[in-house]
Amino acid sequence: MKKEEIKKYLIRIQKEQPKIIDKFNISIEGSVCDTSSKFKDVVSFYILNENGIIKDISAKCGPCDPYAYITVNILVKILKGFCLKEIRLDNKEISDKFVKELKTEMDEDMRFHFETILKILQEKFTS
Amino acid sequence: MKNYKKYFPFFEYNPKKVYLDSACMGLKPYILIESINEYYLKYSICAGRSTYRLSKELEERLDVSREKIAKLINAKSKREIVWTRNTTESINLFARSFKYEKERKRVIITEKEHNSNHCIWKELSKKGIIDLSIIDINKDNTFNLEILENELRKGDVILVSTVHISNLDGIENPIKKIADISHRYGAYIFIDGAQSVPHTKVDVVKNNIDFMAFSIHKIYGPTGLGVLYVKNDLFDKIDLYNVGGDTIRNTFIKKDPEYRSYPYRYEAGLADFSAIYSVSSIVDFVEKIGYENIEKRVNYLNTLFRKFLKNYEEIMIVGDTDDKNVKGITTFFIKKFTRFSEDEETIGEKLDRKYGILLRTGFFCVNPYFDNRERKGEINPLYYPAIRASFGFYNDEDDLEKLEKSIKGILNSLKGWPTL
Repeated sequence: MKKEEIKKYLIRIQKEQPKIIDKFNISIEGSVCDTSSKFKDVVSFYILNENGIIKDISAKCGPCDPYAYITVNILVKILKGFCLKEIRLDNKEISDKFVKELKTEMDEDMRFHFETILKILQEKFTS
Repeated sequence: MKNYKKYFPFFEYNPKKVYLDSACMGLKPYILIESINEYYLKYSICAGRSTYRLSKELEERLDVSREKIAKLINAKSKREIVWTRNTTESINLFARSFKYEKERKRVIITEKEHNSNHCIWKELSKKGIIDLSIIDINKDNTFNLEILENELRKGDVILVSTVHISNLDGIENPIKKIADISHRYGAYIFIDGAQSVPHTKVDVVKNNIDFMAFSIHKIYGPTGLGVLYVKNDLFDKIDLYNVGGDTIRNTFIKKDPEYRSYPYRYEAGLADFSAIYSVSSIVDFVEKIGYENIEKRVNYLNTLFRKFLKNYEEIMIVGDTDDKNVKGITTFFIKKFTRFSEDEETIGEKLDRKYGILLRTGFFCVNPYFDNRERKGEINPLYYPAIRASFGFYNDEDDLEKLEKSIKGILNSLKGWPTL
């Protein structure tokens, strides 16, 4: 992703401000990079699980860089309605929806953040 | 402005650098290095263990250092000074050996303590040795005496442990008032003086301080040496800590060891002779410069810097309170992303490479504060890392100009990016 694309996306996020949900029964926390001494590097998801389906989802993010912030924001948008079991790295539907929302192909940095953060969710749901 | 840089070799070796990390480490003057050398050149031996003249002479010299540190903080006697490795060890020594009472074992700290005055209390609390209360401070990061008094009224508080000048935001706590209120309810007061002793004249008697910890390396002295101050008549409140060499008077096979009197019974093992030896020279140096001059210079520069920062909407000062309560340290956020991938430099690295500005970014070991303020929604985690500039008396207006220029440069490079 070029800097200009990141900028555009951040401006979009600022305008859309994802809501924080009050009602949730699953919370997940993880870190993306090993930069916690310099950055917060914590992503937290709050999920309302109803019969194994993500009924609602929100997130908080102390990111290592904009890629993490953008990834978290997109995942919150696209994961609503998925079964918990479907939250997997090899689920093409998720990566397709992600790219569609991103409006550009994932570069190496974006792919790393997408995969790492999705893995945090996947590990929770398969544990 | 008087040129104090000439006393510090750092500036000879790093002429283009602007050092603004004095809250972490005070730079070392030539006189300190000469004094450390003197120990190794003239002595290089043990003090206090042998009877030959040179060993006794060294012991006397080390005693002078203890005496000078006592006078520096207006302690009544040199025996109130315990040498440790640093502030953290002083707090650990104290916290682990203090005699808590069965019915009175609650310790109060605040949300804005350094990890060194946080973790140990958490550990003791986990083990049931103390009950711990972490109280909030005001929104502008100043101390809330009312919350403290409400807690003390419960009658089970044995100790209040808090910072004097915070390494996070430079805000000075009203320690005399904190001590007086604590004493009124029968609690003792422990002060983390790591940032105050280098900045200002701390008078332990005038402020009614029972216990205090600080590090010598922040007072332009050697690394690896700290102080635990214990008011003379309160030594009986502290049990033994590390024991062994140098703490004992005699040991037996069938009887308990007999320990030396204080402060020596708390100073186990071979001391850092060269560091202690050099303390004498560093106290003389600080007194020659004068606390009044140190404070004036540091606070002048810091106040100007805060004024500069307040011009920018995209900057948030941590502890945005009346500047006169703030001593030499300013921490702030740029409310924008300051790097765009993990391969890019962090803002601290960029300030160094591009502008020669040496300062600190991150959490400054006050993580609980950030955690608490995030939970309250007062700090947006997208703003990290926080940026801290901390001044020493060697800094001057030229340094300030370069610092401000660097911040302007960074902000200009971020123009067009959304404020988060």
